[in-house]
Amino acid sequence: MEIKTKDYGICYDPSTATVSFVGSLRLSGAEDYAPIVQLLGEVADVEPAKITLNVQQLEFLNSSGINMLSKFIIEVRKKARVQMVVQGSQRIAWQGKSLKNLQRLMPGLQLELL
Amino acid sequence: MITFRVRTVEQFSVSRGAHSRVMLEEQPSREQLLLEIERLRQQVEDLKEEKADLEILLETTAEHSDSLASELQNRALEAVREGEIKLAQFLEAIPIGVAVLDSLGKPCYVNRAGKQLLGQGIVPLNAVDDLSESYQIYIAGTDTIYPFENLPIVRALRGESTTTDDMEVHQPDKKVPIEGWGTPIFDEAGKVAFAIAVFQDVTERKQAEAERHKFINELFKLKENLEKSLDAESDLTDAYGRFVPHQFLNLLGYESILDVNLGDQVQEEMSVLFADIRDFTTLSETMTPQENFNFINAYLSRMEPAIASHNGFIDKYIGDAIMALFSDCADDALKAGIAMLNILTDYNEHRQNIGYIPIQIGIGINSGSLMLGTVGGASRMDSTVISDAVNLASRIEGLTKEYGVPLLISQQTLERLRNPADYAIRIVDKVQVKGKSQYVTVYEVFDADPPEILSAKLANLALYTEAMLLCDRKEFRSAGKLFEECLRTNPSDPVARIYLKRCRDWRSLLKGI
Repeated sequence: MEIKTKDYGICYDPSTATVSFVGSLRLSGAEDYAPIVQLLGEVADVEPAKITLNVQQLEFLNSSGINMLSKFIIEVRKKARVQMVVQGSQRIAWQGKSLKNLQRLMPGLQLELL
Repeated sequence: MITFRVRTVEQFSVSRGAHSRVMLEEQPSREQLLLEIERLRQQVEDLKEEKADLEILLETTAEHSDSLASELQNRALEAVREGEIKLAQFLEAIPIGVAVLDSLGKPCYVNRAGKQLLGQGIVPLNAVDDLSESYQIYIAGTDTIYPFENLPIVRALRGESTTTDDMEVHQPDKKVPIEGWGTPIFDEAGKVAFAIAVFQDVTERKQAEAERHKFINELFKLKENLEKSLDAESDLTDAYGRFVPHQFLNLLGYESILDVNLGDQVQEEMSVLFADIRDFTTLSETMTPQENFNFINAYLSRMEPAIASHNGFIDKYIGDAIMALFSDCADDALKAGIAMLNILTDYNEHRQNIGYIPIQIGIGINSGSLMLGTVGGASRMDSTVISDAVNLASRIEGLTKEYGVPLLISQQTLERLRNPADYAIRIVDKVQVKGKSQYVTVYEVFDADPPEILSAKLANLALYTEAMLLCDRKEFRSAGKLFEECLRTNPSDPVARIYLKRCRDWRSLLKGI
């Protein structure tokens, strides 16, 4: 599964159950984010033992975007058996604070800031 | 645990039967109530969790927004700062002076070049009135302080954009002539926010201008002298041109007669045209010497343009005769000849109108190789043409009188025409070149004949040509018959008449033998 535009790309690797985000996500509102929500939903429905979100190359994410990610975390948390890993980058300013907040939604979430 | 309890209740109800179900509906049992409470508690827990989630979500979103906003602002500031630094670097690097006054007239920026030109940077001023004094700006070439109100930068404070080059900055060791531009910068409300002056050292330019002025004056004098010389030379050349044609000089490779050396010569392929007034001597006898010259000049001045307009030039006048030369193209010579005859027709009409008798001319044209050169001794020199072709042209011209036609050309000329079919041409005779055994055929060109004669000659052309051929074969009897036929339709054909007579003469001569 993959979504690709000239601004951003989202790619799911089933072998590692990793969703990678690249580029700059600045869609306006929940409606525009629906295709991404659907992609994430499909990943969660498979209920792999561990889901990894890699945002190390996501340079920009707007508020609707962080909202979407937060909701996804909540959804995964409800599936007690699924482990969650988020990989971020120290280099990108917004990631430090906002990714830590994801941990508040799911204390078991494993945050790797490189 | 919850699941287990619900299942128990169901089992319980089913085992109790319909009665107890009625009881349950009417009054919930304690167990049911406990169950309900448990369910509600669970709901509350869920809601609490959801509320907590939402709060975190809200905080996350808000914090995310904040961090984005502050990051964007940082980036924007950074970009602005970078821009400012760059701009300042640019201004410093410009090799012309830049100075800025704020809206109150206080200096707030002077770039590096500006500091060099002014000898100082930002100076604290009491009032803009002191600007000229503080920076030692004078009216160029004087010791008068520049009126501050006229400084471009001060005028820019009043909203004007101006330029001036009569400023001079007096530094301790030198005086620097300055050219400056003043420009106001307006704020959004349209008020002057800053006044900018840009200025540069014009020492070199002022020097160059002075030198240029001096140089122009010198050049002007030179040019005046040169013009006088050129006028003199041109007058001289024009005068000579009337005696020795420019074209003749050009053929020798010279611009001016002054360059010509005795013995210069050149060989050229050309056409020679001879034109002569028929019976001029008889005509001449009836006129006074003055009338003679008036007549010749009236005639020649009419003929000259026909030659010049066909790229020819008159090599010389020999009494009433014209000798003209045409480079390369025989068509030019022939067209000039036809044009001369047409001009003559008009001229004769004019002469008849004022009671003079019409004149007739003969034109002969030949083509070939010509030697052009200068001849003479140390004190008398002339241009001349040496060639058999000239002699033949003159002889052919002489034949026009004999055959009573105005225009004859040689075989050599005919062969050099681009398209002989463009002209009305017929064979007339064969002449032997003087001192040589070869014969040259001579042709009549009758394009300039009156229309009725022209069409009659054309109508008879085949007959005439056949007759000439028979004549050539000495079949005089048949030839004569054909000439007779020609004369029946065109009795005024002089050539046919001459040949008819010759045929008869030959026949009687042959009979006699």
